[in-house]
Amino acid sequence: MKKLYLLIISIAMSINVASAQVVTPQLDAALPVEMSSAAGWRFGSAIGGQTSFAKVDGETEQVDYFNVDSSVLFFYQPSNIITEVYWATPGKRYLWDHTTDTLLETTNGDGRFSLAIRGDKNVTLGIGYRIEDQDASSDSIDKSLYEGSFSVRMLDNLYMAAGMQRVTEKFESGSSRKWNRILAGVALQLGDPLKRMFRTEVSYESSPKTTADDPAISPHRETTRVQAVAEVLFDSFLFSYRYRNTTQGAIEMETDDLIDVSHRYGFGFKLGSATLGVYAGQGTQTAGDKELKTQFFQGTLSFGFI
Amino acid sequence: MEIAMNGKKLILGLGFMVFLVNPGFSQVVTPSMDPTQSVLMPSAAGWREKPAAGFGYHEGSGTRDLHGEQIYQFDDSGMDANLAFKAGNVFIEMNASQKTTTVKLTAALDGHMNFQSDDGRLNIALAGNDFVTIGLGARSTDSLDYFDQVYDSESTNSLRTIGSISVKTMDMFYLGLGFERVKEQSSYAVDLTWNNLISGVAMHLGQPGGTQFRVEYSLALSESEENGLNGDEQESYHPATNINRLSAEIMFSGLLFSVVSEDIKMEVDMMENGDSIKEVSMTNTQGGVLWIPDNGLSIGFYFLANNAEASYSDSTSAFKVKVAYIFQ
Repeated sequence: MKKLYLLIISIAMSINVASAQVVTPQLDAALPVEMSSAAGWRFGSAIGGQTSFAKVDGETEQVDYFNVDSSVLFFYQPSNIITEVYWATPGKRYLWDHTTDTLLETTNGDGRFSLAIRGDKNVTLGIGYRIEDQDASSDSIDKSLYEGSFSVRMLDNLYMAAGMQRVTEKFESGSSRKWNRILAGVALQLGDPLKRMFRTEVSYESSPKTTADDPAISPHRETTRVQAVAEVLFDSFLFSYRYRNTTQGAIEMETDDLIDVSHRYGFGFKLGSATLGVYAGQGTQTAGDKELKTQFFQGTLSFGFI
Repeated sequence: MEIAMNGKKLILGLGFMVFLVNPGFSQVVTPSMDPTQSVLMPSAAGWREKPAAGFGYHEGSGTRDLHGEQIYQFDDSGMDANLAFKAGNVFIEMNASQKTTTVKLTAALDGHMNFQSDDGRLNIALAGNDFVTIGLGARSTDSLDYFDQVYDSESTNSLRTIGSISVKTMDMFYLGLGFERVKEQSSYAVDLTWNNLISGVAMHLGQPGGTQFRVEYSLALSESEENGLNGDEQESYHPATNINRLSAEIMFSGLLFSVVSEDIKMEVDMMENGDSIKEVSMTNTQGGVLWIPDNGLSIGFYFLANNAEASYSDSTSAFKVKVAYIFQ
């Protein structure tokens, strides 16, 4: 039981298909933002969806391709106020217990709401709320967070953002864990989103080790994540690359940190107001000499309207 | 003597309550550029630039340490609402806030903890010729508190009546002075009344719609006050209290960055958890970012931190989101 809590997000990182952005949104409109202020830089309004599949390959256990989740995203900006709603069908994850190299299947749901205001074309400010539940055969966790963030545009093309998320995890027993996650990033966008455009973003997030009010529940691990994304829109073609490195600190009797490194490559095709995207990626989690590999594929489709 | 000491220990909690219910991020001489931040002295409401209605929600958690060991964990959440409008040169402002704290009591030790609190304020200010504002206000606070294993769920009501004045000079400097009369009634102690004297100075540069900068410092003082035993009711005691408040705000392109701090010190002489305590202190800080348009929807968020030192040491942090509408 305790190990389930301990590992709650360890594997989710490698197969986190949402690929949410901190400073500015991705050029593929089917993918959500991580910080609400990023939604303030959306181009027009759009509706989109994605579905994704992953494979997990451990040293003693493997799981062949399974549906991680499917999701829909809708964002609308009638003025300088932007609302964004994201909902993912309850999807499947596998938690990795690196001490025994075993996998535990869980069902996860994800829903997000973001509200952002863009002011003077130079600043955005957003607040958001998100629920993310996890069910396993042994227990369930209701995770929620609410968030505030802001971003500033300088020199026309340079964007900087910072924000905080307040995270709460409630367990079936009634106990809970709570912590603050700090996020910050910088992005560069050049060009015209309807023709040719280059976008890159580097972001950092951090949350401290946090104990639960029930000592039987393992603490939330100290977590840091660095993410870099580069995208190029060349007329009808979209090329995308994402690098992500997540480190979760060792707790209790452990001696090694959990390190998760993933790479994702994407190709998209724009036809009128529609964008079709295909992404493929791989991740490696390590804890000392133990290793777990993941592979995933993702397809997206979105329709933009002004 | 021991009874008197216990009494002082118990009533000391009451002095803390108003700060726990709604930390002193309220403004004394001039209002915050956040239109949903309430004022502490009613005359400050007379310098409001725009009418507004706002709502805030916060959630936080913290711990209490005693003699180097963590003894309690807190989870708190609360809401507040603020409405400010004017008719001619009359400014009216109403504020209500509520806060609930959940504590896992693993042991019944000494030390104040607030479980539930409700706060309501009404401020009315008159402004004259962009030179002076004068205001009257009332504030009511109800709270449910823990003090020790005997007084473990006690209710208290405090009613404050406030009068204040502030003047503007050289187009940018503001001076303010206020007087507050506090009457407190509780379920376990005799009634107590005392006075607070508050003064402050502020500087506000810039005009609405452009880049603005505001800084304010204020000091609040109150002498100690006692009321003796009466039947089964405990002695009441308000310690001599000194509160320093400092706030700084800068706004550009409609984006407001705000930092506020409050430092409270109380002179006491009591035993708590086996320790002799001469001073109880508390520090509240708040930092936030808000989008403040000329009119329309406003949103923002704050980080809050609180530290308290007595025989124990409390540390809590919270996060607040705000949504408001600013009228033309």
